[in-house]
Amino acid sequence: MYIKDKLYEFQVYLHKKSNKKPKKRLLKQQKRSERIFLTILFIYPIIHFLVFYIGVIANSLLLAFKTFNPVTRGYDFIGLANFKDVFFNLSHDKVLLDSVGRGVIMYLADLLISMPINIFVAYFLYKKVCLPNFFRTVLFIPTLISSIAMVIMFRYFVGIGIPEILRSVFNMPEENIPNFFMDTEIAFPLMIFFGIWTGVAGGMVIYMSSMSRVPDSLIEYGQLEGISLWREFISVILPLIYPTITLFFVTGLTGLFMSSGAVYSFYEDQAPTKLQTLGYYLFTRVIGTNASLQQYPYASAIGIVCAVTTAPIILFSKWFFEKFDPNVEF
Amino acid sequence: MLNKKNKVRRGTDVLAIVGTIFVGLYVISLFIPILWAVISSLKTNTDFYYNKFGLPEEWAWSNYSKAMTKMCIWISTGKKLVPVYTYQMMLNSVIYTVGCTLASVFVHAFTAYGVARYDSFVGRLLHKIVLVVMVVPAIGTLPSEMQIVRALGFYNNMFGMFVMKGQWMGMHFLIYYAAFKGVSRDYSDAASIDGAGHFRIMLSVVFPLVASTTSTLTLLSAIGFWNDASTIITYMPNVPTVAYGLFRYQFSTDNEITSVPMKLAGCMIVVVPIMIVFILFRDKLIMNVNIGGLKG
Amino acid sequence: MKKMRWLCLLLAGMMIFATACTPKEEDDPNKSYVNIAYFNGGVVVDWLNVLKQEYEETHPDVEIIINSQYKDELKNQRLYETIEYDDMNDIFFTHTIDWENFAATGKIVELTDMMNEPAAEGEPTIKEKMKDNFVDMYTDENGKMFAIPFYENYSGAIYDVDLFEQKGLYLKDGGGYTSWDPTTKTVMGTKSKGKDGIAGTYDDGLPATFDEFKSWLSYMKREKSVTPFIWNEDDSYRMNFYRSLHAGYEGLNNYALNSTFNGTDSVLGEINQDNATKLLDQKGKEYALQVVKLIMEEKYYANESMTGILTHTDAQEQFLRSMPDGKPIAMILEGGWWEKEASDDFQAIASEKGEEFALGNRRFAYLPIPKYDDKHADGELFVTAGSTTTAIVNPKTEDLEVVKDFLKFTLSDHGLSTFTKYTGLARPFDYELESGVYESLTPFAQSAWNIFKDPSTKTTGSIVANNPFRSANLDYFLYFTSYTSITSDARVYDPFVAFYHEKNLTVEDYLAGSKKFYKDYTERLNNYKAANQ
Repeated sequence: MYIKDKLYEFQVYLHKKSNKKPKKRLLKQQKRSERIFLTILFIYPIIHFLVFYIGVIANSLLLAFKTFNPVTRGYDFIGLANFKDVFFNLSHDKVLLDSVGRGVIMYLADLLISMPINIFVAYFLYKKVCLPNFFRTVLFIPTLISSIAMVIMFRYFVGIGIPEILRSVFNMPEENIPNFFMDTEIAFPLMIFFGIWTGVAGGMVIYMSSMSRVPDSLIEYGQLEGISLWREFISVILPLIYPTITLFFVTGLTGLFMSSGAVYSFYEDQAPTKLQTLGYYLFTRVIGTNASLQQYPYASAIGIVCAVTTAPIILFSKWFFEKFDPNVEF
Repeated sequence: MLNKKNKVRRGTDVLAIVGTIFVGLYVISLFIPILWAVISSLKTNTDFYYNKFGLPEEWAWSNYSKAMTKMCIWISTGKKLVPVYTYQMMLNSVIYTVGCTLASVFVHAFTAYGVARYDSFVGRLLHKIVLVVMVVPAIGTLPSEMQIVRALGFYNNMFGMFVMKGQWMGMHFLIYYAAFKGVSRDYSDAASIDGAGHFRIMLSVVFPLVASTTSTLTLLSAIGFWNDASTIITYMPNVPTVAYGLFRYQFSTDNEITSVPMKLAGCMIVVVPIMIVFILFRDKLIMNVNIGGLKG
Repeated sequence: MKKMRWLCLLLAGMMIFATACTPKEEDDPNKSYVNIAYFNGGVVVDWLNVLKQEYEETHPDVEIIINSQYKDELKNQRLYETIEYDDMNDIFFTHTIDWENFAATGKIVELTDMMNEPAAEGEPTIKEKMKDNFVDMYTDENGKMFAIPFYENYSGAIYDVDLFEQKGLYLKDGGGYTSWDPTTKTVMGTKSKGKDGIAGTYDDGLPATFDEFKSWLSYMKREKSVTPFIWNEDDSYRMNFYRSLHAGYEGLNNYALNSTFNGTDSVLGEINQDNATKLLDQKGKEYALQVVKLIMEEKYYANESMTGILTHTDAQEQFLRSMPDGKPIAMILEGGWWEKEASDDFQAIASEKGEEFALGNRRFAYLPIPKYDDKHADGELFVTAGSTTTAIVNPKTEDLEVVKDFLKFTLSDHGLSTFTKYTGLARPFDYELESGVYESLTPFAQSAWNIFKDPSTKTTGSIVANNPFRSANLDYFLYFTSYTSITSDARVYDPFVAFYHEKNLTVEDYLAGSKKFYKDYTERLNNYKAANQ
């Protein structure tokens, strides 16, 4: 290993040489080496950002001002027509507005039901109340299994299995058996339920690891005082994992208008209108089996309108949370 | 340091009882459909038609071998179509998951480190960018993304996917950022005085201190990539992974696999290996993450 | 540092693996290769394999390679991409496509010259052999042809002949229903003459008028405990039944206006692009809606049909098992390929319950559309599902002459007869079956062939003709043929689902909602165009 030895010698030489530098220059060099270091760290993210974000977004922002030309299969500039179309539909089309409403309901269900359950379950596991290893393993399963597989199992179990139970065990007459995926008054809550059900332990890992950062001394102090689990949860844990919660909350807001839950996985392109959300509507037009290039400009325009609407809400909630917790870091 | 602090006086606390009941019921609700799916996947078509809940009349293991062959995806090599079988897809999945996870975790970590531990204009800018990007929902970006991916020669290219997935904007950046901010400057200053360079400090001093964050994020990213079908659908259909295979299988209208037992069998083929891996290594995967709990 | 090295090694290994290419087989330089991408659906590929062998025997210098693993890749939107990046396949036997858009973008080869040549010696030219309405559908405004229609396949209600005989579901001449004598195994009573009024034809014993249809369905369900219909989760099957009702009432000319927007409706007068919404007043639409409303209101369908989780093979299985299991279902909404798709089910049932349930031993046939009133068009008009399934040629093909020669071989009378022999379907050309082929078909395929050869029956597609206006506003017409409506609180694309969800919805409401939708839609389209200028 002759070369290696030589290299080592060279390194030692360089090392000695650098150590010989007077102190004054050391600081300067440190600055320089810091610059080099940061350049190395940042060069890839910057290129990635320019190519895969700026490049992509700029291209698709332009798309909102274009229209599809079926002959050239390209896009021609059209001006504000897509936006006019969006506003015309928003003001005339009750169905579209309803779909926006359903998206918001799905989002709120996620926020108001799922998130508290998530935090609570994470706390339950963190405290190792009962069979901790078993529950940790089992509760992680829905996160682990691909959502397609979860949907297949749930869909057949609820659509075929449960009617069979109602029929043969409860002797329910055929006409009273609900049609779980077609009766919209059942199907929409069912979609929300599915989201909550599969997401019971969602974010578990992140919540638990932020709970594990809570200083022991605080917990011990509380235990000496003999406070209940509930008190401990409210007064000790919650304030300390506040940053994590707000982080989830604020980033989740981007889905305010776009959430569609698992509707697409269940129905593909054939979801009843009363289950469709704006997110679903756009998804089917941009990605689904009947998606066509023709739909992209309109989808892009809706995207911009939604982004412009969501942005202030997000900024406000960010400000709001920061105001209530000066330590919060984003 | 299995801390006593987490041990609860069992049976004495209302919240503990409520929690146990809730989680217990949930686990039952989770197991029933999965168990039903496993049993149903082992029934013949006729058996399932007449017998939706009982045990199989005869255990139709052949469903699995049939699902294995049917899940195969045919890709063009230019002169003819060649099959990619399930085991090859598994291999592709492993490569895709490992590569993308490494790329994603490293890029997130390096960038967040640079932004959190050094005060620089670019760093502040990058931080701002992340916040803006997370606020702006991007819709209808698919065609332009497609164009760019093809132009870079990343289409159907595993390495290209690593580059593409090595992104840094998002939730994981913020989590890392918070973790790095939380590491006291004393450690790195001390190392610096000892003559350690920037890389040394980063890799040998600070990174070990956020190891729990790293393992958490690695686990989460890996699961995400393992189950990621949409990227493969869009950008890498000729290098199919099992997630993509299951997607195609599920929506396939091939007459031999449109029955319920066959669909469920296909599902199990994908689910079972990851479950086994998870159960074997669960100590390393989730237990570690939480108990390790160095203050980050 | 050791870790880093492992990491690099791992990365390098993965790169090699990822970019590793599969070994390419050497071509024989003296041979021509024709690669065919074939849509792997209910229309089985056997016929093409037979023709390939025959062709290769007479042309030793040509090798035909059939790639029948394709599915979604050959569907309309995906095909644009498939064909753009495909250097391998020369011919594509596709699913339903808008060939005119492919032609406009230069993605497929023009075949006009080939169509004006005979497929085999002594035959008329291919174009002359092709059915007239398909010639219209496959010729662009400059008289050029780019695509070859693939097959004709009637969609509608298919009934179980054995069940009808044994359960006594046929109408008797002079009123009442036929009965079954189990000892002699014969139908008791003369069947009614059907809607054509002639005894001894395919519609004997089947409801001739809407009133008869109503009482017949009621008798079936209430007196005989037979479920009238089953259909699967895919809405296109029930929508094709809906279209066949609409088209059956209107007749070919009026129905065609729904996609040409150019001509004269026998009731509504002249139709052009500006007043096309008048077509919503076609009586056939109302009739179709009334039938759908009846079926949904009286629940003349199997429960599973509206669960949204009944796959096509599961629906077929349930239909086939219903009679032997004693829970009979009279009709299934399907396409002509269904028997082939269900062949495994036939086999399973035959092995459990006896040979009389094997494929070819059970009899099925298409249900004629009952006449609504005296304006109802005469004769039978069938809607063909997949009216634009098409064979096209990749412009990147190297040996165009060989490719065309093979295509011609498939279009010769022998080639066409072979197609029918193996698939039970017909291609929209004028040809006769070779000897022994008709006898080898199942009773159902025979009945379909009889319809195909009967000069009084006509066929139409869901899309009737190529039209540049339609291509330019595909979005608009996509909805137009889907019968969109706005009901009390939802937009619906499917009257079956609409009547299912809203019990109080009437046919008039649905039509009014349709008009409202198209009014809004036209307004939107006009706004869009105005902004465009």
